[in-house]
Formats: sequence, C-alpha cells, structure tokens
Amino acid sequence: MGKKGLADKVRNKQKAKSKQAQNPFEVKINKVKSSVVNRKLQKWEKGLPGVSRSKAVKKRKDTLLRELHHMKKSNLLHDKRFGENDSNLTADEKMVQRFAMEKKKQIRKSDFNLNEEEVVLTHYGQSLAENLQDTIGSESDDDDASKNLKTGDLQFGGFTNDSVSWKDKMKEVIAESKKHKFERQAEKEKTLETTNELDKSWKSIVTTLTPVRDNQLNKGKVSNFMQLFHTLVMSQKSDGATDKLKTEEEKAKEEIEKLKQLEAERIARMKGDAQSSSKRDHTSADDLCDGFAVEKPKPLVSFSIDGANVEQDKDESKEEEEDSHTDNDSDGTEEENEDEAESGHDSDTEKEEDSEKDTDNYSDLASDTESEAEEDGQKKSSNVKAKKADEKLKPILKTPKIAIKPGERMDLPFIIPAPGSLNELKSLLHGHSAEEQAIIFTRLRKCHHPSLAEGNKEKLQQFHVYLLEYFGELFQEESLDKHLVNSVTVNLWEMTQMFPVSTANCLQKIIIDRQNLYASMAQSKGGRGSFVSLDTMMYLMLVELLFPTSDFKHPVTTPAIHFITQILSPVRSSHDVIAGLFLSSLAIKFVHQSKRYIPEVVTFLHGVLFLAADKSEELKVFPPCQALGKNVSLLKVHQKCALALQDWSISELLNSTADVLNNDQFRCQALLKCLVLLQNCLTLWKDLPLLGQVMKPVQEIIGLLPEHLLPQEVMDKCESIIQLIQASESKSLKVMQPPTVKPVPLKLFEPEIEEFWAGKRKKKGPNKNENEQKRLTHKYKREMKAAIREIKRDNEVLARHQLDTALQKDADRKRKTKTLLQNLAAQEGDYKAIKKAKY
Amino acid sequence: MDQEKIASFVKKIKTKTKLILKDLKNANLIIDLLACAQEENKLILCASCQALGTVFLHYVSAKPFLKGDKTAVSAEDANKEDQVSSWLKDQFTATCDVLCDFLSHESLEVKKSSLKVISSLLQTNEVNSSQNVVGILIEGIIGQLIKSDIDQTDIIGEVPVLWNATDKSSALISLCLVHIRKQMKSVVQPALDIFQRNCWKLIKQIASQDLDDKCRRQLTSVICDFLKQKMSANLYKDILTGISVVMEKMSSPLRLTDFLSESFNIGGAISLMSLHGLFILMHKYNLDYPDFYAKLYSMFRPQIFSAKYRARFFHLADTFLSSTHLPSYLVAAFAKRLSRLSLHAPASAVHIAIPFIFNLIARHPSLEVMIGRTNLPSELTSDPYIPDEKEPANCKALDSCLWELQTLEHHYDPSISQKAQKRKVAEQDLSSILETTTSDIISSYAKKIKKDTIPLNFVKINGLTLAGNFVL
Repeated sequence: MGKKGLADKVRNKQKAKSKQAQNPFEVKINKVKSSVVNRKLQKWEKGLPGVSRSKAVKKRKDTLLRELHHMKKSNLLHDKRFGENDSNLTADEKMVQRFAMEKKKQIRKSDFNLNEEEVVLTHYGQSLAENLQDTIGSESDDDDASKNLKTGDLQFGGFTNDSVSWKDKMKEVIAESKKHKFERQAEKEKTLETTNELDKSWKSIVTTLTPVRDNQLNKGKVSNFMQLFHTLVMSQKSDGATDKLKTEEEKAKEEIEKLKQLEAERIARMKGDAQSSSKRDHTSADDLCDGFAVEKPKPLVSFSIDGANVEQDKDESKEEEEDSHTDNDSDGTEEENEDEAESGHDSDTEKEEDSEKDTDNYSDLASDTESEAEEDGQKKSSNVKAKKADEKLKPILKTPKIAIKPGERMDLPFIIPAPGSLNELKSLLHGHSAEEQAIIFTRLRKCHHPSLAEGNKEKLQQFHVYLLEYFGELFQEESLDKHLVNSVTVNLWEMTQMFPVSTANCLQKIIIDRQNLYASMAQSKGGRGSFVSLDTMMYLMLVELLFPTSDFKHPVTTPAIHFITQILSPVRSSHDVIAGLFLSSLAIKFVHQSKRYIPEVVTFLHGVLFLAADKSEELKVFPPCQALGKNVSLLKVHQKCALALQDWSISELLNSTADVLNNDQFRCQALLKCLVLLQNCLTLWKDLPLLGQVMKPVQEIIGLLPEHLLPQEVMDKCESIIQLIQASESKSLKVMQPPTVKPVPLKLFEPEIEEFWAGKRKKKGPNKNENEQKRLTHKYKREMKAAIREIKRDNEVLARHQLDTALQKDADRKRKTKTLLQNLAAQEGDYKAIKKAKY
Repeated sequence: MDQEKIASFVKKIKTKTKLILKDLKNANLIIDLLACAQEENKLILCASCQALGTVFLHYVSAKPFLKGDKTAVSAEDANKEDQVSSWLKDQFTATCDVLCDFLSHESLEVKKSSLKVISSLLQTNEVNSSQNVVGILIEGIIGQLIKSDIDQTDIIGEVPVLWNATDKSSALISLCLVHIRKQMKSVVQPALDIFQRNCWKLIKQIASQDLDDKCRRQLTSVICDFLKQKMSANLYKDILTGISVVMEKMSSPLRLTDFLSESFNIGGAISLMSLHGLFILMHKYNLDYPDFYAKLYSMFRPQIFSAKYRARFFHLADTFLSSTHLPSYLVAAFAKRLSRLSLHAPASAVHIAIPFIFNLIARHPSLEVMIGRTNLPSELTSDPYIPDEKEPANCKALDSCLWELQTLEHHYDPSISQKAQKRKVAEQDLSSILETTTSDIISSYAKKIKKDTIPLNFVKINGLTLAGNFVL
C-alpha cells in the first residue's frame, strides 16, 4: 500500500482537480449558431470564466503586486527554501524533504576534518604503521648494516634503486622495434619471391599448353563441319539471334507494316493543316511555329524494301544478314536459287545494268559490289565461305579479289579517295563509261562508309553535294547518257536517305539560286521570263523524286512548286511549249497525291490551247499569257495529219532546232499532250467545287479548235474533256454552312472540391512569400490584441490594489482616531470623576 | 586646256572681279568677263558666272548705277554718269542673257551656279523694286527651263532656290506661272514630249511649295491649259501618279474632273491610275460620279493580277471599298468577282486577294451569308452568280456563296490554303502584303533546315523517270 502511494496520490490529485473544475455553476457555454444533435460539447464551446479570471488575478497578485511592493527597494529577497515556490507540495512533504536534505548535508564529510577518520599510510601496498611497528619491534644490534639497508629500502626505496636504468630500457625498446621492422621486411620479400615463382611456373605451363590449341584449330580448318561451326559463331556474334530466327514471311510482314506506317505519316503531313490544328492545343516552348511540329522524325535506318541494301547505315549488318541466310541453308541448290532470285530481282531494279554481258554477276554491282564479289566466289568454290567471315570484319581489304574480277574493271582502283571538289570528281569520272562511273560511285560510297573511319561521314556528305552538282552538269552536255543519269539518280536517292538534311539544304539552295536567276532575268525582260534550261527542270524533277511532294508544307518541295508555277509563263517558241508542257506535267505529278489545286497550270494549258485556236472571235486569255504577239498562232494546225500519242524525249526535243518542230505533226502532238494533261487535271480535281467554272474558259477554247484539221485522237480527247467539264459543271453545289459553334454554357462558379478535407479551410495565397506574410500579420495582430488586453487587466489590478490600500489606510486612520478619541474621552471622564470625587 | 591653264584663267577672272569692285573706272573689264563666259570649260564658266554675279550684285546694291541724277554735280558729269549707267545697263542685260543661257548648258554644275547667281540677283533687285529686271530674268529662266529640245528635269529640281531665300516668294511664283502660261501658248501645237515633261516637272515643283490664293488660281489655270494638250502615254501615267499632290494645291480641283473621267474611260493601266485622283475628288470635293463603282467593278479583270500596278490597284480598291456605308450587294459583287478571278490567278496575287475578300466581309457583316447560309436549300444546281453581268447590282452575288474559298483551300501554297480556311478574320492592313512577289513567297518557305530529320520519299527509285508522256 505504502509503496505505490506516490503514483496514487498524483492521480487522485488530478482527478480531484478535474472534479473541482466541473462545478456546473461556473461553466459558461458559448452560444452556437447551429446546433448539431448528439454531438459532444467541444472544448472551445464552453469555458470557466470565473475560474480563469480568479486564476489570472491570483497570478497578478503573485507577480505584479510583488513587483509593486519591491518597486522602490534596492534589496531583493530570494526565497531559496526548498519547495517554497512549489505549490504541489504539501507542508508535510516539504518538511520531510527539507529534513532529508539537511541530513544529507551533515553526512557529507569535510575534507579538512581530521578527526572523523584515520588516514592509513601505505608502502608497497602494506600499511606503514605495521611495518614500522615491526622494524621498531625487531630491532637488534647483530646485522646492522644489512638491516639498515633493508629498512632504508623499505622506508625510502621506491623506484630509485631499480636494477635496469632508463638508458638500458630505451635501448631495449629500440632494439625491439628494429627487430619488428626487419621481420616485416623479410616477410614481404618472401611473398614477392613466391609470386614470381608462381608466375614462372605458370608461364612454363602456358607455353606447353599453346601448341595443343593451335593444333586443334588447324585440324578444324580442314574439316567442313568446323568451318561451318566457325562461320556460324562469327555470324552469331555479328548478328542478333532474333533477326536470324525470322522467317521470310515475317520479314515481309514487318516491311509491309513499316510501309504502312510511313504512308500514314505521309498522309498526315499531306493534310498538314488538320493535324496542326488538332495539335495546336499544346505548343512546346521549343516550337518554331513553322508548321513542322506535327512531323514525327522518320526512322531513317529502319526501312528497306527488298534484300538489296537501301540504308547505307545498316549496310554492313544487312549484308551479314544476307550471308547468314545463305549460310544457314546448308543445301547448296537452295543457295543458288536464292542467289538467282536475288540477282534477277536486282536486274529488274537496276536497269542500267541490263545491257551487260553477265547479268548475274553485275546486277548486284550498283547496290553492293562486295556481296556481288562474294557471290562470285561462292560459285567458284565453297571454300571461300571461310574467308568471308574474315572479310566481313575488314571490308576494306579487297585486294585479293582483283583476280576474280573480269578484265573490264581491272583498271578501276578499289580504294578511291574522296573528291575534294566538283572538278576532282569530274576528273575522276572523266573517260569512264556509265557502268564504270556507277561502279566508281558505289566504291566511293563503300570506301568512305561512315562506320569505317572518323571523318568519313563528312567526306561522303561532300561527295554527295558534288554529285548533286554533277547531276546538273550532266544535262548541260550535248549528248545525254541516260544510263549514267539513272545511276547518278539512284545514288543520289540512296545517299539522300543517309544525309537528308544536307541534301535538302543543298537542293533548296540550288532551287533558290535558279529562281533568283530566273526572277532577275524576268525583271530585266519586263516581267516575263523565258523558260529555264533542261538542268533546272531536271533538278525540279529530282526534288519530286527525293522528297515527298504531297506534304502540306515542305522546305524543299514547296519552293520547288512555286518555282515551277512561276516559270509557266507565256509561250514564245516551240521549245517553250515543250518545256511548259513538261513543267505542267511535273506540277501535276507534284500534287497527284495531295490533289492540291494549281491555277497556273490551268491558265498555262489554256494559253497553249489558245495558240492552236481559231482567232476569228475575240478571246480572253489569262495573264501572263498574251492575246497579241507574233507567236499567237504557233500551234495552229494547217493541214490534216495522222498521229499517235508518243513519248517526247525532252532532251532531244529541246536540243533540236525550231525548224524541225515547225510542222503539223509536232503541233498535233503538243495539242494532244496538252489535252491529256487537262484531262489529268480534271480527274485529279474532280472534287473541287466550281471546277466547272474553273474549266469553263478551257471548254470555250476547245470549241474554237479547228476541228476539220485535227486528227481523230485529238478530237476524241476534246470530247472526253468536254464531257468531264460538263459533268463537273452539272454537279450540285453545297451551300456553304456557317461553322457550327458549340453553345457557350453559362458561366458558373465551379465548386471547389478538395480531396482531403482537413477540417478547416486553408488560407492559401498565391505564393509562399505571401502566405508567410499573411500568417505573420495575423499572428502579430493577435499578439498585439493579447498584449493590450493583458496590460488593461494589469492596470485594473493595480488600480484595485491602490484603492484597496487607500481604503485600508482610511479605515485604519478612522479606527485609530476613534480609539484616540475614546481614550481621550475616557481620560476626560476619569478626570471629571476624580474632580467630582474631590469635591 | 590642261589643269594649270584653267586654274590660271580662273585666277585671272578673280583678279579682274576684284579690280572692278575696287573702282568704277575698271568697269570696262566686264566686257572681258562676258567674253570669258563664252569659253568651253565648265570650271571657267562657273567662275565667270560667279564673277559677273558678284560684280552686278555690287553695282545693284552698293552703287545706284541705274539712277544717275543723284550724284551728278554738273550737267557734264550728269551726262557722263548717264552714259556710264546706260552702258552698265546694257552690260547687265547682256549678263542676264548669258546667265539664262547657262541654264540650258549641258553641265549641271554650270546650271546650278547660274541659277544661284540669278537667285541672288533677283533678291537684290527685288529690294530695289526694279520689277522690270525681275520680269526679264524670270522670263529668261522659264524660257530656258521649259525648252522643247533639252531635258531640264535635273535643274528644275533646284528651282525652289529662286524663291526660298526671299520673303516675297509668292510674287515670284505668280510671275513664274504667268510666264509658263505665256510659254505654253507660244509653243507650236502639238507640243514636243520634252517640253511637256519639263513643263509638268516645273508645275509639280511649284505645286510642292506653299502657295497663296492668287498663286493657286494661277496654278489651276496653268494646269488646266497644260492638260488640254495631247501627250504621250508615259507622260500621261506620270501625270496621273503625281496628280494627287498637285490637286491639293489647286484652287478648284474639280476642274480636273473632265481630265480624270476621260482618262478613267480610256481603260487599262491609265484608268487604273486615274482612280486615285477621282477618288480624292469624290471624297474631298463632293464630286458626284454616278457610275464609279460599276466602272471599278468592270476593272476587276484577270489582267489586274499581272499588271505592274497590282499593288497600287489593290490598295486603291481597298480604300474605295473601305466605307461601311456601301450597299452590301455592291460589296458582295466585288467579293464574288475577286474570288472568281483568284481561281485563275498566280499564287502571289491570291496572297493579296484572299485578305482583301476577308476585309470586305469583315467590314460588311451582311456578306457573311456568302460564307455561311442557313435559310436557303442546302444544295444548288449551279452558282447563281452571273459573271458576265456588267452591273454589280444585277449579278446576284448575294445569292451565291464563296465556293471559291473552298477551292482555294486546296491551293498548292500552304499559306493560301490556311488563309482560305480561316473564313472569319478581323480586318487587317493590306499594305504589308501588297508588294508580295513570288520570290518573297519562295524565300519565306525555303528556310534553313535546322532539324535533324526531314521527310523523305521512302519508295525506292530505279532511275530518273519523268512525268507524263516524257522521257529523257
């Protein structure tokens, strides 16, 4: 019971206290605006104003009034008695504690109190007193000296008489450390020695081991199996296993997928506007706002059409892939079949090789000389396969293969330095036939493949630029080598896949230069330029081949089509007719996928028809074509002639003289071509509203053609065109509707929804600083209020105290006066009584 | 003559001038100076010109050589002085002739220096109120400036020197105008092109000055006389471009109405250029020109897109149609016609035409039915618009829709396509796009490619295959 008394006491005291606070007469409950049934009264909804006020008053009395009392006093009395300021302790406890402390103080002994305890002196751990008593007690005269010494030792010896001197001791220490050092060194040397020994023995073992391995390899070389094994290992190293496992169908499927994706991207770019508008919602900070944001970067190297290498970047790996395939089929016949299939396919694709003697060998050449050579080798002996793996690793090493090559190409070096300028390239190609030049191109590209050495990429890029220029120069020569042009074009296309940006920049620059030249020429001639040269037209053609013309906006093709339409100007000669018709067909080819409308083509073709029309009536012509001039009847047919639609060789026609073209045959041809183009236009733009209106002038002018002189084919074309125009005219027009606008909803305040309601509204400012500022202002206000209130209360207390003291004083004085008066009255009474008594 | 000789000659002229200025007795040297003025070299000519100028300036301002009686003491002296002064007078007139002749010299420097000297002489003469001299001088100047055989446009640009320095410029200008009129009457009709050019340049130069009412009246009559003459097409265009400036300075610009309406009826570029003058007359001087908009409508032909004055035409047309008080059928007719035309227009013209059409729609909201109609049947068999109708009121443009914009949405130029798709745009200032050429458009598309990749053709090619029925 007694042991757990303290804890109980504390607990009970608290309980009693809380009970004390529960006096219902003291509790004041705050009025609440809305009462909630069955809710406990919260702590802040009730209070004990009386209690807290009395507490506060008491506290002030203890502090403020005390200060007031001591205000003019220089001395201060600190009450340091134990528990005097602690109200928790009862008087009894206080007393007990004080007593205990007092006791403790007494128990603590003083250092200087000698009386309390005896100090025992010792020597060598023995009490001196005892020793002294012994020596004193056993003192004898017999052996004085020894005894004296002994007692002397005992009494005063200590360490002074040690046998080992300090010097000796130090010597010993030094010797010991030296010894340790030596031992460590010795150990180290020993380990070193043993490792060396071990190394030596290892080496001896290795030398004995190596010949064994060599022998094994040599044996392997002979065996067919081992050779296959090694090639397999090599190919596995160079090629991912996943690719190898794919079947032909899977590959084809993959390619189709890729094609589909690329086509989808192209269509997206073609629409351009729609996508851009839908994607405009989010514009990145890096957006250049040039309308190109919608384009996804095209995976450059992930695409190929057939077994031939398309992507130079993947050239090597592709090759190996091919090889691994051929190697995988151990069946010889299958291998050959595949080879043939491949070569046959390639001969389709590369027309320039068609005329060569052994198609099988050279067909691959344009795309890949190396693999071609290897296939050569395969046919010669199966053993070459073993070499192949080695060659794969070092594609530059081609020298041993010279022997295999047929004589014609012997003189061509295998490693060709990259040309440093266009002239170098030209001198390099000078005197070579188209086939040889094609080989040179491929070899140049092989030798300077970017994966082979650093800086090759730049070299190849430069070469590409020169080749572009060379392409233009091809058309400036008198006789045009079509094979050469084709091979250059194919090379350009392939390298464009490698360097799209530099090609685009280069081609763009060429077009801009030509355009500037043309514009300045046109300006000098009073607003009307003449038609451009063949090479410019071919550059425009090249643009169409290299870049997607269907794009809504493209940095190369858009300027190109603008240039084309700018060139389509009034016709002055038969050459102009040819060039104009060619450019019109090119322009139509530019838009044949996107089906965009080109007004200039319509007006130009109208102008061409005008040249052939009967001018008896007054006719309107669209600018820039003119209704007057000496060439107004350039294409007017004079005599009836028969003709068939045939292809025009543009280079020949442009080089021929005007007299050659000055015949009805040519005129009818031109007319027919023009009509064909018009028909193309009509079918291309058949969905355009008002196409009938667009083509109405054409229809009128066709009606004015001299029917009786024209061949039947032309008339048929006219008929079909007029039918097309009429069909488009009779098409009903959909009335333009105002764009549907979503009804705008009423503006309402949206409820603010907080996911985690913490019970009170967060006063959130716009930023951290402001929040902090607000918090501090709020706190300051509250503190200020509290301080003012406290000071008021203090003053109240002080005033009350003053009043109390004044009243007290008054009362005292009255009381005292009263007593005094009483005393005086008593005295007086006494005096009177005595006086009465006397008398 | 080599350099040194010329220098010595010039020096000699200077010393002679000094001598003359020193003493009246040396006045005979004036004849030497006049002789010098017949030399070939332009430096000598300039020097002699200046020398003569300084000499006579001195006489005119310092010594009243033209009024002999004041200083004469005896009759004999008076007689002598009379003789001297009459001789000096003769010399002065000779000098004036020489100076005026200099104005038609081939070298511009000589022209300039003589003009300078004349202007200084005019100033001092005015002070002495000898109007006679001024009249002679001005007559000489005008006679030389609007000569029929020499192109004087370069020196006419310097003419304001004559009246800029003095405070009585208006009197001088009116004198000039009188003489111009005289000259024009005296010249044999039909006048030569050079004469007319000089005349026009001078008139323009005068019109660029600040004029008072009298001068304005004179100017008006001079211009009207001038415009009655027959002139070459180039000069005609020149006059039409500059007429708006001159018009402001005329007392009654309405007198130009005949001229302008005639030229408006000529057609082609000339009628295009007379538009502005007519518009000013209508706008500021309350000219009632009933068929203006019908004629403007008839001027909307395919040729406007290729004409040299395309920017000017569109600018003017935009100002004419900028009024919101125009009837909507009229504006609709213009919008429809222009959109029709843009179907056959080159790209650079469509770049202007589409914002033009949208400006019209923005100014006249009643035109919005043309781009969005709700009440009529949703399909029409054909376009109700009558393209060949001369009268904009009868062409039924408001019944039609701007399907042309739908067609232009498929234009090969991406920005045209985007512009056509927008349909509703706020009114914009056309002046920035009026001068757009094909080269500008191309260079705006041909930006340097900064990105890593650029879309390429992915279909492998076999060679250079040409489009259509063409082979290499």
